[in-house]
Amino acid sequence: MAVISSAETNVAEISDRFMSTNLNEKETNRLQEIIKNHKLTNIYKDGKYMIDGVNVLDYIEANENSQKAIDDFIKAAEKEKVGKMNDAVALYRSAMRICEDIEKIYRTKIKYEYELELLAKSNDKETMKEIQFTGESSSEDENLTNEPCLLLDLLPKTILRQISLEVFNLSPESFVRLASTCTSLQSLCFQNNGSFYKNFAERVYKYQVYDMGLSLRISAEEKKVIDEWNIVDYYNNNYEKMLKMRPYIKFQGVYISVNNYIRQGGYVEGSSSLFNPIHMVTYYRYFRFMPNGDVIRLLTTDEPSVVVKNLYYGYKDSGIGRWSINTTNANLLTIERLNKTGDKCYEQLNIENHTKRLPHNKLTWIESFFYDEVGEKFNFNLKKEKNFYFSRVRSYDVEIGVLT
Amino acid sequence: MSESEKMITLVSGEGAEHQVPESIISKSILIKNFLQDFQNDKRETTNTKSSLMDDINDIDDDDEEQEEVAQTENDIVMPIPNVRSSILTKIIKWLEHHKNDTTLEYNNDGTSSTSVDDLRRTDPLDEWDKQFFSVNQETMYEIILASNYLNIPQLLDSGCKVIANMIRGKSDVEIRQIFNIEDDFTKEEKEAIRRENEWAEQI
Repeated sequence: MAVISSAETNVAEISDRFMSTNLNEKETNRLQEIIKNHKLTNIYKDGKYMIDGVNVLDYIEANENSQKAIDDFIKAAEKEKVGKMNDAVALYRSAMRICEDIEKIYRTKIKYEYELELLAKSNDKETMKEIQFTGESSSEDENLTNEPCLLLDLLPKTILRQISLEVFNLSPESFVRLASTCTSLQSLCFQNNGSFYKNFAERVYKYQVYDMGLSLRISAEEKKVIDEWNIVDYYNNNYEKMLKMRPYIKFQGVYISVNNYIRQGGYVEGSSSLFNPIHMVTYYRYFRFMPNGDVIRLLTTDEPSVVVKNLYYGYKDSGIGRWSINTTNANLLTIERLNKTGDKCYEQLNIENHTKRLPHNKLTWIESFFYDEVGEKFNFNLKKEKNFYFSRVRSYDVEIGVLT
Repeated sequence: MSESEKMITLVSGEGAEHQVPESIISKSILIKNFLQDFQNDKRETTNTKSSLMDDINDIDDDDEEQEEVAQTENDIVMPIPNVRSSILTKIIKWLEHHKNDTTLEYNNDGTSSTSVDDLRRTDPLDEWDKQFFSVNQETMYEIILASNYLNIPQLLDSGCKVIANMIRGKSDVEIRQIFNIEDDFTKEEKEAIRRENEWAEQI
């Protein structure tokens, strides 16, 4: 504590300087100087925040307590990011207890690292080489211009197109990546490829499952008719429009809903505290949809970093439901499952757009209910339930072919 | 007939001769069609010849005639000027390995009667082919080009799949590095492309 306050003025000074949006030339030079003289790669490489010279980071390193403070703060920020408010608050508090100004220090650190990155990028290649971190990629960049691109030089367009199609079949994402490497590949994949949207649409809607009401799934033949009707009559053969407008479920990732609630805690025995302890509990709902009509559902307090990569049939307490999209109300998603007593439960959600650029990314609750023995409808309370958002999971794309 | 199979002589770009059994090389639609035409021509010429001989010698010896035909067919020589010897050797190796494959039916123009959709469902890539294509990029492209020229759809598919697998799961930066692709986008263009295609990466 004592050490921190003594250096506080120093910290404030530095932080103010970096908070100012425009560094003047002198300061830029100074930063460059720092880059040259000190091995700043440490920042990136070892996750240490140590820098020689006058810097808050150096200071943090020197003191065990302050190190803990900044570590806690970073952890807290990460927890907050995944919605674990209770843990986040505890960590924020622990960090603040050590140093009141920890947020400022943290911001300084982030800002400082950001500035360094910018500098490293804007600098000429010579400086880049001196920094090991960026050095490697930059030297390869140079090779790029010297060596010819045999792929584009040797292979004719028809073969390149076939390759791009194979890439698309493996992973539409990789296809997009390929198209964004250079102008000629972009025009090959997108502009001069009339079937681009068609390919995507076919891939997307092929694996959707439809119903005509609760538990009334349509057959493959009926689906064909509906798909045909959609594209021909409803969307006028405009595949681009259809992809934007007609909702679909995505398989290459997971839909997550993050929920927080506050629970009254009990008093510790013998405690004379005047305050009621409370717990903030964070739990997650996970939906992973499968092209075969299954949906793997999981309700847990485990964070996405633990769950997502393992979420599959039989993972922990996960259950399996059946999903389908309504044929008349194209936004209506129904998930059907059996509860413990064997009753059929239904969850209905709306497929919505998160942003304009990312369509069909959000699931909002409509209702969740089941019918009891006498056929009376019983609704679950959804007041506290939050929306689902889709997150792409890289490792999933391998399995999509296997499952279909 | 079967024990001494008809051999076709392929002449590479360097002028080196490669002997290949007909059953193997007929996976190449170019050569298959060439052989068909050749045989048709032969039949016509032998027919005219034999009628001539009939006229002159009045000999009716079928056996001798067949032998003669077989002999001429053994001498089929096909120049393939735009394929190097080393590539041709590789391709023959591939053909030999795959000689017993049950293949997709390809039409005479090399297009498959199965649609792209079915293609996706076929086995991703056989392990042997993966090994076969683990050569430097230039050789790989040459094999692909040659298979395109010789019209061996199965090999061409394999080659494209190998390259597709190299691209799969890579970032645009990595793809550029692998293939030496020069990045000719401006920063703004790149950003625009990224925004435009964000949805497509998520399907």
